[in-house]
Amino acid sequence: MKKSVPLTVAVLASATATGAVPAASLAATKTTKYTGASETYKYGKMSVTITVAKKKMTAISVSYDPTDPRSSQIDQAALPTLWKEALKAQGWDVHSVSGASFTSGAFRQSLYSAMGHADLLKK
Amino acid sequence: MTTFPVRGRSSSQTPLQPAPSGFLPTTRHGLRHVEHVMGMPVMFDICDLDVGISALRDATEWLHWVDATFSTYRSGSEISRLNRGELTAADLHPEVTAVLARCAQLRSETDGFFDVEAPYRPGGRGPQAGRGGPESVEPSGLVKGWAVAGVVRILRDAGAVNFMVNASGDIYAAGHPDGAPAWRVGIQHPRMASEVALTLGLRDGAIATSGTQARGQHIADPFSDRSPSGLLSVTITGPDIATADAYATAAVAMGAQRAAGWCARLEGYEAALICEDDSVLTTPGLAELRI
Repeated sequence: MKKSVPLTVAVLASATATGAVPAASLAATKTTKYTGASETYKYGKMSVTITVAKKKMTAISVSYDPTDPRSSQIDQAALPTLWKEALKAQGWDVHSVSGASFTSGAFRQSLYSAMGHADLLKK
Repeated sequence: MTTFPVRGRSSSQTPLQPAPSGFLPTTRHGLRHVEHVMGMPVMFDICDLDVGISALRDATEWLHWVDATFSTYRSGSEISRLNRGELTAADLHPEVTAVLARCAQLRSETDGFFDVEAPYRPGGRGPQAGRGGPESVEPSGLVKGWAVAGVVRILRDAGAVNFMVNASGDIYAAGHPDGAPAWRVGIQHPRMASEVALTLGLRDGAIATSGTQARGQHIADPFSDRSPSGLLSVTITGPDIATADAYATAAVAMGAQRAAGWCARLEGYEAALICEDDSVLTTPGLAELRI
């Protein structure tokens, strides 16, 4: 069995049951977000965004950069019960995004890139 | 304190990109962790203060056990041994038996479009090295969701109430994050970088998305052997992440026309289909989840 993962990101927040960071201290801390390079994976592109406070990563998230300009019409005569609307990009504020699967390789590369922007990589 | 085992290239030469501003904080106190298993990152976001790190350890050990037991990339896994004829049905671990039984059920529920043997196709990309032949069992399409469902059970047994697990784009969201009544989960916009097409509020539910971007080789109609058409992505939400994932995969394989009719008849699960003509079809129940 492959060795179980060196944790790319161990426990991101500093918090365990015994080591919680007081809310007040974090509330006063400036946080900055950094997005890593867009990485190609099997189904498109993805990139990792990290949130940094006091030189520590406090959150990590993934967004997708799909690249498929195909377009075609479908016959929708047989769609009586579904609601139909035009696809549009929303203004968004979300906790996470559901999308096509991406690999650890793409995730790691984009994460390193974001960490580079945040100056978190070991010199 | 946390240290980051950073290796690999420095990306200082990459131009700085502005971060999308859309990701909300989820918790200031909880446990966050990324486990790489089955070739994908599984992200944990546990908001409950009283959930210890042992729960996380149990969950990650389970994921690695699932990988070792089910992976068709590992020659020693039960699935690989089964496909080589070294194991019979009677030798299988009960979890393996349960997964294969659920695959058979799902094949029936999806009118044959979720097919554990479908990935093997003479004209397709072909089996990966180490995989079996055309008669092989390939339950990977269910195993990822099954693994995450197990994680959800483990975390709940450990007392977790408010948490989110994101397995490479398929998500289970329990309770709510700090400061919000539900988890806000975006459905990836299939054409535009860093945009979402819909936003749903989830509490104690799963959401899974399958796409067709560059994915024709990956999901094929098991009957015609061709890439499905008319759909950019299908998102399914409902109580069980393994079922949602399998339904999404099957619906993509169906193509737009058939998937629309099939999704409209689902019970307990809601669907959003994003079509190649830039229309979005949603089941009426999905509207109640939109925020």
